[in-house]
Amino acid sequence: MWPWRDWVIDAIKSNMPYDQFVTWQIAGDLLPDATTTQKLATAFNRNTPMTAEGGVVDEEWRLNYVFDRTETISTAFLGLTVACAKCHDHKFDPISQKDYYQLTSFFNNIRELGMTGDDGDYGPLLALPDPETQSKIDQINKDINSIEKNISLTKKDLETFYAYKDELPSQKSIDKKLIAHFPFEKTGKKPKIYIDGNSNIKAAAEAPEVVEGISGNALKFKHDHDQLIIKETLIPNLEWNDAFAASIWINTSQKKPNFTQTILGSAGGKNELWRGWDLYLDQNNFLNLRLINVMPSNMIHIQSEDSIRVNEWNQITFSYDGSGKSNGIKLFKNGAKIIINSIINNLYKSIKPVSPVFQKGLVERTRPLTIGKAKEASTGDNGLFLGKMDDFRFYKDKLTALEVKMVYDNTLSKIEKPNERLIKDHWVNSDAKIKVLEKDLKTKREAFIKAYFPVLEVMVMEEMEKPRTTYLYNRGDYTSPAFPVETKVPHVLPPMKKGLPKNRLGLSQWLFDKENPLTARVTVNRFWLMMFGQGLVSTPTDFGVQGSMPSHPQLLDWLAIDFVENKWDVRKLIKKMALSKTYQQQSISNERLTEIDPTNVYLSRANSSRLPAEMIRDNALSVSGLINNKFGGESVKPYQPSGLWREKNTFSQFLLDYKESEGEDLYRRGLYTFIRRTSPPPSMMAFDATSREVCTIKRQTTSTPLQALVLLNDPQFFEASRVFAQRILLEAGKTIEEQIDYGFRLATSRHPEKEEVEILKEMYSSQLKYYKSKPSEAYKLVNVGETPYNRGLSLSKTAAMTLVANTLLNHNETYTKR
Amino acid sequence: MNCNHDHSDKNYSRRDFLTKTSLGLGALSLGSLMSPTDAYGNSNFLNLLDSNKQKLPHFAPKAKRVIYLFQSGAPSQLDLFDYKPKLNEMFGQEVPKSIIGEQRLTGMSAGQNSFPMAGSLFNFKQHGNSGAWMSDLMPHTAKIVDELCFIKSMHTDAINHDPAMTLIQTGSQLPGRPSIGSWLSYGLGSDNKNLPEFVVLITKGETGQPLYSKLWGNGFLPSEHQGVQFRAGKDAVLYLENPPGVSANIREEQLKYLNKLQQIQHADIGDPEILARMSQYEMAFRMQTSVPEVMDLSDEPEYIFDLYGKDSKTPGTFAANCLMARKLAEKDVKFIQLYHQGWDMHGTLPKSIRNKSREVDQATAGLIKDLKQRGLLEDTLVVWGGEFGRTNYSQGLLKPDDYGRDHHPRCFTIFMAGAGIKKGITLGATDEFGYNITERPVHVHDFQATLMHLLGIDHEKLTFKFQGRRYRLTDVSGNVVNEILS
Repeated sequence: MWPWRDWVIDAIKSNMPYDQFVTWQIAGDLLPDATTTQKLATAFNRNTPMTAEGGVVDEEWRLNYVFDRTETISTAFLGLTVACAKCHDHKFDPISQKDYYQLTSFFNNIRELGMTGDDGDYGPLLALPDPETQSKIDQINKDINSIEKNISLTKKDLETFYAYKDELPSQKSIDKKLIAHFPFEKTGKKPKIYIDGNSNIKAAAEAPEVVEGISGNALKFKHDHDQLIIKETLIPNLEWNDAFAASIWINTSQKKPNFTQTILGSAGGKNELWRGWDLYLDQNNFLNLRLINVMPSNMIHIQSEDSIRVNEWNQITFSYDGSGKSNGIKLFKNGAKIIINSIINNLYKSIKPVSPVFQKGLVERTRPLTIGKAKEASTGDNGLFLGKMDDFRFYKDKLTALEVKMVYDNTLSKIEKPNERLIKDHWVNSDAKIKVLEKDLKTKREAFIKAYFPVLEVMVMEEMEKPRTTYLYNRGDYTSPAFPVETKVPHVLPPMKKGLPKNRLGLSQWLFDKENPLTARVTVNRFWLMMFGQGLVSTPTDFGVQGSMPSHPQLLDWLAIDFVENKWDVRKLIKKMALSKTYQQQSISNERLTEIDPTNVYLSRANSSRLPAEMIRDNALSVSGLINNKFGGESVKPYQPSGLWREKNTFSQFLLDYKESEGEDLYRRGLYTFIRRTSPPPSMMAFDATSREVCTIKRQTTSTPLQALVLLNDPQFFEASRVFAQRILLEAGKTIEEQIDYGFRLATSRHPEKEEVEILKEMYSSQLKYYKSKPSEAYKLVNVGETPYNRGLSLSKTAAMTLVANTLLNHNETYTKR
Repeated sequence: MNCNHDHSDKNYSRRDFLTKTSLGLGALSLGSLMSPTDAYGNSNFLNLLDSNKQKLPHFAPKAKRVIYLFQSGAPSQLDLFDYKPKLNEMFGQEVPKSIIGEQRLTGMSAGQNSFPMAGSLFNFKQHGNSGAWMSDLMPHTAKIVDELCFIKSMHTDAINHDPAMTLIQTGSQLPGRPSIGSWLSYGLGSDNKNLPEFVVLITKGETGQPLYSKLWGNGFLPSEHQGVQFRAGKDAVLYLENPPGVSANIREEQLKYLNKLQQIQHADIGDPEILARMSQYEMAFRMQTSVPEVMDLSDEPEYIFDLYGKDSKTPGTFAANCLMARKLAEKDVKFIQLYHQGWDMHGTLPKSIRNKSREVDQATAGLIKDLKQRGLLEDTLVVWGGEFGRTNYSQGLLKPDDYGRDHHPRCFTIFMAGAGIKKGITLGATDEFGYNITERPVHVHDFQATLMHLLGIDHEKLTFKFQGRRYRLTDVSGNVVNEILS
């Protein structure tokens, strides 16, 4: 998700107007002619935690993500806690249960998975090629287009050339494309159970029964483990620029709601991104063919318009031309082409199978072709095929409609003259000129796949063509939809203006409509909270009946109106706050103030506040000079005690072990630290950082002994102390007083009082004595952390000064704003 | 704060430092309550008024502390506790349709066409005077059944590990809520000044279903209430050890001077938050001694190791953690949470469960016996159990000597012992197929309500307001299971 973070930082840096900043994040993809950047901004709504646990019910979790988005938007922009209304209405709550589900409807139209895999990103995805790769891809696309044009021109010429041809191709020419043929006549013996006596094809656990088939015998699939596995040495794993085709006779005995039946394919399971391809019958016995890079978006998926009847023999054939497009697939039933619809047509990355590899993540691996069952369960649907199958053929090329018909006729020993159109089509498409051009095309597509291979993808929002129906769920339970609801905003708030689209874009425009009483106030209040340590409404996430009344209602209104009139200029707003007399007050209280205004509601003084977790570290790094202020890029992994990831979770291979960054990356600002929600960085968690599981507006501020331990002992803080000490010794004057003064000022932004200098001096002298007498201890101390010790400096002085510096970093004045 | 030692005072000792500066944790809560600077502002104050927290405990507690031996992955109740001879009689036959009904199954076995019943391969017998049924998998525990209270009618809402563990540990299937230990720490505060109130011990080197830190997280409660993991090995608590080259004396001296600096600041500014911070440094310093002390098992006599089993000599094992739990209980740590992974047996269950049971059996029984002989069982509650049960049918191929079991939320068994709990009883029952509950269902929230009740807390009254809503551990349900209270 780091490209999205880069976008956020960039937007803040360039002071993007707040309404635009939010609109892009909520609905960038829906803006007219949306740019890649606008689409990237929608990643905001994909920060929802996703489960990868095998066996969960997909719909239950998909809905959880929809709910999470709804609640995040309400909390962040409306200051409303709508989650209460998820289960039922409440007597005094103006947000009804219907309101809640109407609001969810804005976020319910994303094609996404409820259960994902242990590693990887899941669609909708946005590819983000760097400019160099982009131009490479553009060039390849141009080449592909020109070859395709050339092919269609050549075909036109050829049509005239073959106008009178009515000769049939030889059976031999078709057989040349055939790389595997199994008549399914017999099964072997346990334990290997070879089918047709061929060791390249075997049954998994039990052998399917041999029964009478369409030509000779057939195999009957009836048990949970009846499946055939064909070694990849016989039928290799193909890429999407390979043309291939297959035909098989099926006779299914099942049509079952929510269950599919896999005919054949090599698609992977949930921990393999489902990558590969497969042909299956869905719950209505429609035929489906998919070529998958990753579910549910980077793939092609087509579906037949008619279903296959149960208990009837049909020969199913598909032919795929290697174009990576859904119109490159043709489906045939009993030798005749059938109508298909494209469901998804969005394939650009490889479909070669991958598998999780220890400590590495997903790596390309071969996978055998399976007949009669999907690769892996865990979805509740094992894709078990029930019924009979016969005569399976696999071709490593596409087939023309004529060839398909001939194969069909051949198995039934029928002799029937095909029509002329088919014959002409066959010769046009099989002409040597076309074949040469297609070979070029394949090479170009190969280059296309290669160019896309390293391209980063980010999870974003994208509407489905046909919106889902949203329901109100009793008690929030996915199994209890009560009735469908419309796409609407809560009824207590002004309605959406006529003409606003009923989607995320309309929602965002409504948020920033002048009539909307909440967005500006909620936003201003949040910035006030950040600046003053306490909001004008002390419950920043609750502007509803349960929240607090604003302490200064007119001030809040004035700021909100001013913010809107200034075109949602955040920088201007902050400047206004910072320059106010109220902000510039000091935080020291006195007895009278404490008595009259104990919680400082009336702003009689400033509030002091401890820096947030990230900034405490940034501050220490900055004071020491270690900080690396580089902008943007991938997350980094600073020092962390070893073993924390592995002891919690061994499922993700990509994130099995925490691998610390090297060199300058150890010292980047806290917002670049890699956050693993299930095992967040402990030193930050000690300082009240959240684990990012739910949208949090306001962090807690606590004092704990673990905080003391972090500042005293965590190598990142101790190393910073040491480098800070080196800086003092190098940059400050010669006397110890000067040095302490310099360090004190860097840490706390003020000069120390004489008494304070004396305290630190006393400590320094005592510890200097110790380290002079124990150079080996001093040596150990100055070698904490990756940054090498400056050998030009005195060992004992550096050691003693490190403790002074460490004391300064532990002084609460260093990390408290007063 | 009084710390007037001269630097040259050679007799300045750690003990001195501690006694002279013992502000303890009391200062912290006072500090955050009074501080106008607390970023939590009004709502925190309201929370304190709101939650009846000042009245805690709500009534006289039976238990002072809890040791929760969590068996992650869900142990098979059908192979350990819930004896169902019917399943053996009907071995391999399909589970009657009427039994499964319309209940949902997990995605791992829902795709099966066949659900053959798998009777347990293990021998069941009645034990003790109470006649509790147990298989021969846990012989040591079987010997102490008269101390235990079994609940055979536990049920949960989730069918998968992560949501089910999150539910049983935080009261909600979705992450983000405080865990049981955090609620207790928040509600009851600390009984000791040298160790955290909520300690987590995880068996080292086990794999299986992930254990995310949210299970011992503080959720929306202040982070001081999060569970602190004690790990086997050098750095028992993260960042506990002084950096290389910094001796205990040097550190002590440094803290003394830091204290002086902050005192000056406090005199100038008067912010009580500064005092709270200073007291946290003292606590941190005390932990540097107290944690290694409690982690050190070398003083335990040989017969104690014999009691917990030979594994207890290997740091990080479940047995060593049980022994450690007893030491923590002696030090009045309020909530001691153990985790033992690896009970998720979808396939080859008979083989795996033998090993798994062996890992926990003797130590579990040893811990209860040890607590008893020290008089600690009277005010310590021990809980043993997982997040749900396992199916009566086989997941994957059923063989005469091999089967797997999928997740089963409809019923599972846990047991408890100690403070406030009746001894030698069994509550609730399941049908003859071990699929549905027939007697006295106990929901996870009921279990949590009972646990809080034993500690003197009314689970409906301990609440915390977060983002406009009052939350409690048991969400919107939960009833105390009075039948098991002594």
